[in-house]
Amino acid sequence: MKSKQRYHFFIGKGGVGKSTLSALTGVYFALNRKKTAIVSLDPAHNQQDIFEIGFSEKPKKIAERLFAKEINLDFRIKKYLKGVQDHFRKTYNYQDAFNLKNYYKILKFSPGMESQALISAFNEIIAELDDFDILIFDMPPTALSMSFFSLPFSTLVWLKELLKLRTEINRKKEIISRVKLGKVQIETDKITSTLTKKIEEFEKLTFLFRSSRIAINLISNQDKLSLHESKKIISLLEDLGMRISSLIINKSSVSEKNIENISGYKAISFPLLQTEISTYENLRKIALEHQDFFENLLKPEN
Amino acid sequence: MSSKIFPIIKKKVKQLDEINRAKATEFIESELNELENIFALLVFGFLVGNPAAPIYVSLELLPLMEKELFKFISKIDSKYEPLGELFSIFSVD
Repeated sequence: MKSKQRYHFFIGKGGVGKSTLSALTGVYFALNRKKTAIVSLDPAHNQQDIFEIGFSEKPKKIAERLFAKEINLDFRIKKYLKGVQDHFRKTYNYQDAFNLKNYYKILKFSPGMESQALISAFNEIIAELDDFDILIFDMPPTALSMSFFSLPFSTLVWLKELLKLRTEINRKKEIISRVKLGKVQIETDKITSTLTKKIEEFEKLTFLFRSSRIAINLISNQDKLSLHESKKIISLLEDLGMRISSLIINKSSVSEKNIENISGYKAISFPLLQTEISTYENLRKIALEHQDFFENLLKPEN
Repeated sequence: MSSKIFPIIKKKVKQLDEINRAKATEFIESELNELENIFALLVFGFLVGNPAAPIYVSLELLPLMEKELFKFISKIDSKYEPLGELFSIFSVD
């Protein structure tokens, strides 16, 4: 992984222009000699309509230093469940007795599966695209995005509590073994080692989410509803100890000076464009015309 | 004579020691069973309609918890007889 690799997330209410601005930012970075990948985590997958190119899980080159890929959540959930099922078959003796085989068919509809698939996808992507300077994540609408950011924190609480209980169980087993056999004879507890490993993984992720390598760009429009939702997003992220890097009022008809601060953040505005926002060539022209905006967006304090 | 008696005494003492050691751990074992059941309930609570750990945590641990799952299911069978279970711990007939 490049030590200075940065991750830009574009989040906000549905329809505010997350995909457009993530595509434009990607084009801008590539034009400024940064090897950039735009990764669509939004199941709506608007990037292919914007660039008019079909994307898949495999990164596709759009232009010099610019790549894009789209994540197929359904495929990833199925792949993950198959992995668990294979592991399960190897370790269990009486799988059919529990009838858990059929249970797997409905597991993909369980709450939390989508956000977990997003987390796994994120981990795999940052490992796979480790030679890129910038990764831009076009995020799904608010509910799923927030669940993506909060999942590592809530999972960590559970994992730590389960490890505490497991440690107590192991301690009791040790006492029994010492009294009964006169010595401590305990096999390595796979559950403890799995919990410890998962805690390490999730701690790494929560640390990354709070680090300066992450830039969260919150997109809003001027209307009351999207502004209200933006305030909620800021508050939810602050609860997790995270801060947004920039607040962008997209399709704005007023200048930045006239936009009020939102939850303590100074907004920057991006105008409503009259030109067609599709194909790489058009995006390149728009990115060059609005260089000031992108320079402002990518300032360290933003 | 003593060569015949000595091994018998040794064997009896060993048996007595084992019995006492087993008695001494009886309560800790029942406590351990309860803790294992609580652990299984936290991990697999969703199977019986309880709020449980995130589905990812349950799925990661599921392949490693065959024994716990057996205990958990047998515990569901005895859930309407808590007194019977308590009496068996205290060896009350």
